[in-house]
Amino acid sequence: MSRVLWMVPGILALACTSPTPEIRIGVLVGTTGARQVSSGVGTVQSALLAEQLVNASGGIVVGGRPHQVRVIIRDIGDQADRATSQARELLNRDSVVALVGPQFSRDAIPVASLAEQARVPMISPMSTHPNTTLGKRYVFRVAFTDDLQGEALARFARETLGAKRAALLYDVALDYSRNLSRVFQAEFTARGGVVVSDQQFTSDQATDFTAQLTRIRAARPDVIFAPNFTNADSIQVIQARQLGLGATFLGSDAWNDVSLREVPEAEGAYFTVLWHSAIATAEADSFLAQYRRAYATTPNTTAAATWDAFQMLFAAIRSAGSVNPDSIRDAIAATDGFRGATGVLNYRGGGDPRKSVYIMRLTNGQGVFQQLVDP
Amino acid sequence: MTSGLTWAARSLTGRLVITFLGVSAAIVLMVAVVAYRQARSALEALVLERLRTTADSREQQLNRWVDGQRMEVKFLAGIHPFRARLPELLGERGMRARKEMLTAVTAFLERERSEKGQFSELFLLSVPGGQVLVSTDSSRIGDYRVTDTYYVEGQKGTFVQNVYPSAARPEGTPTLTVSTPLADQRGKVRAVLAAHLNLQQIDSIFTDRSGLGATGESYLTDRFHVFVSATRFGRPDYPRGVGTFGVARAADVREPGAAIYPDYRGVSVLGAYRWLAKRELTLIVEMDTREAFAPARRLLRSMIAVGVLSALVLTLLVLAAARRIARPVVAIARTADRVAAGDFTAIAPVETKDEVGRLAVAFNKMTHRLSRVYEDQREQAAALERGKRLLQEIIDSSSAFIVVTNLQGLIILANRPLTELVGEELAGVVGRTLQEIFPHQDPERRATILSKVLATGEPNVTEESVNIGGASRTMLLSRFLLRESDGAAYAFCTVATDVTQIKRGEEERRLFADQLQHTQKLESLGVLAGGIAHDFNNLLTSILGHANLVLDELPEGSRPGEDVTRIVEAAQRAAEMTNQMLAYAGRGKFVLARVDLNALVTEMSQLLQVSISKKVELRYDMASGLDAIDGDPSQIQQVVMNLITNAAEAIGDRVGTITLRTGLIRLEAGQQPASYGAEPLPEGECVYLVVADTGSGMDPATLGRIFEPFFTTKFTGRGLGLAAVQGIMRSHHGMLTVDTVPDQGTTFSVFFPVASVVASTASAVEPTQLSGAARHGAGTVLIVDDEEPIRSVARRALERAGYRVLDAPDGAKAMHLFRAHLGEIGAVVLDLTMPVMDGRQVLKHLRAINPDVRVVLSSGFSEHDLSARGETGDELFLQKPYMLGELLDTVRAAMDR
Repeated sequence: MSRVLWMVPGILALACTSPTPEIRIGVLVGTTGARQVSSGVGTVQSALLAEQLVNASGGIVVGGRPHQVRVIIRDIGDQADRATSQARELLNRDSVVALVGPQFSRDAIPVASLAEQARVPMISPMSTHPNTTLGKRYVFRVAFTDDLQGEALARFARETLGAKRAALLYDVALDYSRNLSRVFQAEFTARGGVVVSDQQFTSDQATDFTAQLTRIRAARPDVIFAPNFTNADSIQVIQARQLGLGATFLGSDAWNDVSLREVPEAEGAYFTVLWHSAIATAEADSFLAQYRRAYATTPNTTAAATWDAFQMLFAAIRSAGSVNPDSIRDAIAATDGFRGATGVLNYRGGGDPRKSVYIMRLTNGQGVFQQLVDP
Repeated sequence: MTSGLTWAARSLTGRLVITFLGVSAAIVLMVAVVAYRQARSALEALVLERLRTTADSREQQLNRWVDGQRMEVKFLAGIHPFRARLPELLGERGMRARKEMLTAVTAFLERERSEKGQFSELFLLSVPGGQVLVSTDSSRIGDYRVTDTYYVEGQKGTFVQNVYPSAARPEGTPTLTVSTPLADQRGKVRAVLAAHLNLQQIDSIFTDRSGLGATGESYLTDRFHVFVSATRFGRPDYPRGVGTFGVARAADVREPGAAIYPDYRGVSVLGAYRWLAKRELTLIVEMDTREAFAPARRLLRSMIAVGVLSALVLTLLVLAAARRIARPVVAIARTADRVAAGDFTAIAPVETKDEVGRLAVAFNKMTHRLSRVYEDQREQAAALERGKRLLQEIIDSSSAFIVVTNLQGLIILANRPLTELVGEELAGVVGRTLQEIFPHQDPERRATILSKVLATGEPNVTEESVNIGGASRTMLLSRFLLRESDGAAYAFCTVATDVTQIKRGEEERRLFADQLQHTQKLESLGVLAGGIAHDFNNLLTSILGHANLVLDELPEGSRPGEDVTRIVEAAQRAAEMTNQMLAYAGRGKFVLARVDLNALVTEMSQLLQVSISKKVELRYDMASGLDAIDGDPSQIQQVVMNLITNAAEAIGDRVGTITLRTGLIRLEAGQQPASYGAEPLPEGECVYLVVADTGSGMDPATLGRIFEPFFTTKFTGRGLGLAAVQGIMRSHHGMLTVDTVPDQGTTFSVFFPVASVVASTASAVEPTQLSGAARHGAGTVLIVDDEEPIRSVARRALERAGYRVLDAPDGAKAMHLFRAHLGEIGAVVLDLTMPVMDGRQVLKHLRAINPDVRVVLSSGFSEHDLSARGETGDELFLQKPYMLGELLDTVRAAMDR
């Protein structure tokens, strides 16, 4: 009897030691589809770099034993129902302990519901829509919210640029664009400005904006607020200039200076960033150096935010001392003063960090830091 | 319980009942288990088949239902208002027309939804834009579904989007959507009609329990293991789906099958599962094994119950029967117990005439015989024990040491002398080896002897000297084999008899016999010598007497005178020889006196010097202050003379030395040197005389015979010298030793005991040499002698000296003469050795007549011989042969007393 009992720990130890234990982390990212490519590359590269570096340094020690991190990347294309399916796949069949992504609020919001339901922590590096984290215990983000961003841009337009008349041009089928426009409009109006034109389009009709731009030209705005994605932005800027529309373009964090570099018409436009490689901090420099060493290229904002999401997740797993999703969630929620590449992260119980908004100006095809707007 | 078991173990009835119960229980259990297993396996096949059938029907039902909904949506899209009024609906005919149209379409769709109940939401999406134009759920109006699959695909044709987690509805609710394009009159697609199907209708298909019993259920999960059911979806119990065996096989491996496994509640179920590829769903039909196998369990229970009951009833019957059968056996068993306890009077009751009855009869006979056998055996055992004790007593009482060893050398028996010898009890030696007990004995010798005994089978008898307790003992060891009745040897017996005493006795007897023989030899020699000497002395007395008479007649210096003198000398030598013979035989004249050996030797020195060759030097080495010895001086002189003569003869004509040494020595007990012909001296002071020569020495053969009478190495010798010495030493209780080395010399030593403190008185009178005149006397002398020449010569000598002489040839005559001349006879010369009446008897009679009679005894025997017999009184003694002068002197002396 006693001999049998003695064998039990031995059998358990054998069962545990044979394969190196894994920490599975699911990444939901769109790597196919028109708008997803640039953001997707940064996400995948950062995720793989984070996995490689943490495993090279011995993995994460949990319960006295080193665990290898395994990142499972699933392509969600640009369809929300595909994001939910892939999330179910990761949650129910791959048994991940945490999710990183999706980057876009359209996908992040439904996936957040699944994560919440499955009680698995999810960190969306770039989703800015308030609904992503609203009312959820298990969902976190790295980015600022659209509320902060929209308010910051409205304040910048009114106070820095001294604009009085603003026009809106946005994808009405996209929660992100629609919501950001609403926030901007409310703040701009509250600060004494006037929204003179509200022009919308849908994602399946995003190649010709002449009708909308013609109506905007008639309204004679000082600024045009266009919180759209890069492919739509470029067309809109070019078509606006062709129509002789001289108003200053204001973009959101969905804008991307790399793809706009080839668009001279965008010169002088302003947009927000969560992070920019030109903004130097010790953490940012360290990330930059490692990323460049690995990929010989400069990371974009998505890469930086994804990097921070992983580093924060690793720190939380270490501090939880457990791979139990509930414990990890509690450790993330308790994160205070985490110094990431994109700045300091504090959650204090909620899912949204309080972050400042960088406003950049496109000058000679380059994004140049213009102003920091604190929340 | 324990007492019950004990009863069962010890009682015949109990064992029968227990055995029967055990066998019955085993059979009942075995049959029940086999039946249960077969029933279970049959049930399993049956139920699984039923579940598969149910699954088939459910799958068909589901497909029919979905297909029906597809047809329904397509049909709705073909209804008039949509096709004809699309432009109004899209606001191309003005806002008012649109609004009216929207209201109408909304009402139509709501009616369709609520009437049939198969749709949870019916809605219209604009093309392009994907905006919700009309919906039965007003909260959805205005939403954009531009990237949703059913919107994209629905523009191309009627499309069924299989169950997916809805991005638009909260918590990703599983949703099944059917969409179909709406084209305007010109055939251009202007809108998409979509319907989210009411999954509760699916539930109603699957919650139908027909054919599934009380616990059976069927359900769907999507490919992510999530329940597809309006009632089950979103349960917090399964946040990440249900990964049961069935679901995983169907969803992940996409294989249909049926098995027993734990379901999502952890309850064991029989389940049929399959992957519905067309619907991308898993279909699970399950039933609790508990329910499925309930009939088998019931069967098991009733079989056990019936089996146990019948076993119990049968057991009671068996118990009764066993009691009946066992009773006489038990009675026999009790009797057997009493017999076993020694009671041979016990008798088993004979109750039946069957085998048991015969057993009882046989048992009683057996008991009777057993009792006789037991008695016999007890007597035999007692006899055996007596025999054994007798044997043990015999061997214990034996003075010999008896030990029996087995062939391995271990002691198996020993008698008491042996155990006492080693100081152990019998138990203390049994099992040990002889080597352990007698470590000093030679084990190899013993082993050799034992192997010889074993090889030949013959007893071995040896005499061995054995060290026991520090003393050497002579043992007669007899070793022999002990054999079984079949002749096989199994042990060695060794009997060791201590023959030390016997040996010593034999030796002593031998010595005694030798001595006796020697003594007898001496005795006979003495008798012979005495007889011869007596007769010789009578003859010599006569010869000397007559020669003396003749000599007295002849003038001195005349030729005849010289011749007679030669006769006298020869007769004297003959007398001397006779003396030597008497001395050897211990019958020589013996006069006991205190003798100073040194003085005696010194007196003889002149005589000795002339007795030896001039070439021989005589040396003296005398110790001063010697103690006196008791002895006959003349005999001791004879010893010295004989030894010197012998030494001189050993040197012969050569130049040599004779050393004469005296001394005093203290002999300790056991240190006496080897003596020849005499008892060793007792311990104490001794005076010794050594005569050592440098002569030829002797070989051992010669040495062994030198004391024999008439043994001589010389032609001239008479061979009586050393024999006489030996006789003299013996009669002096002295000791004689010889050391000789051939060609180097011989040393004779004689030892005399120192004289005792009380001086013995010499009874002999020193013969006084009287002058011729003094020898003359007067008076009558009676001569009694049976020898006529003696009487004649004595008469003539006495008469010549002036005596009157009477003579008688025998005692009777002498008595007669003595009485006749009682007053006249002044002295009687009486020969002791006479026929008829010897001298002693005559003397007694004479004394009876006249106690004061003066007698001179005369004999060829020595005086010592006579005095030893205690027969001499104060009579004077005259040793034959005597010179006539001596006769006269002695008679004179007797007269003068």
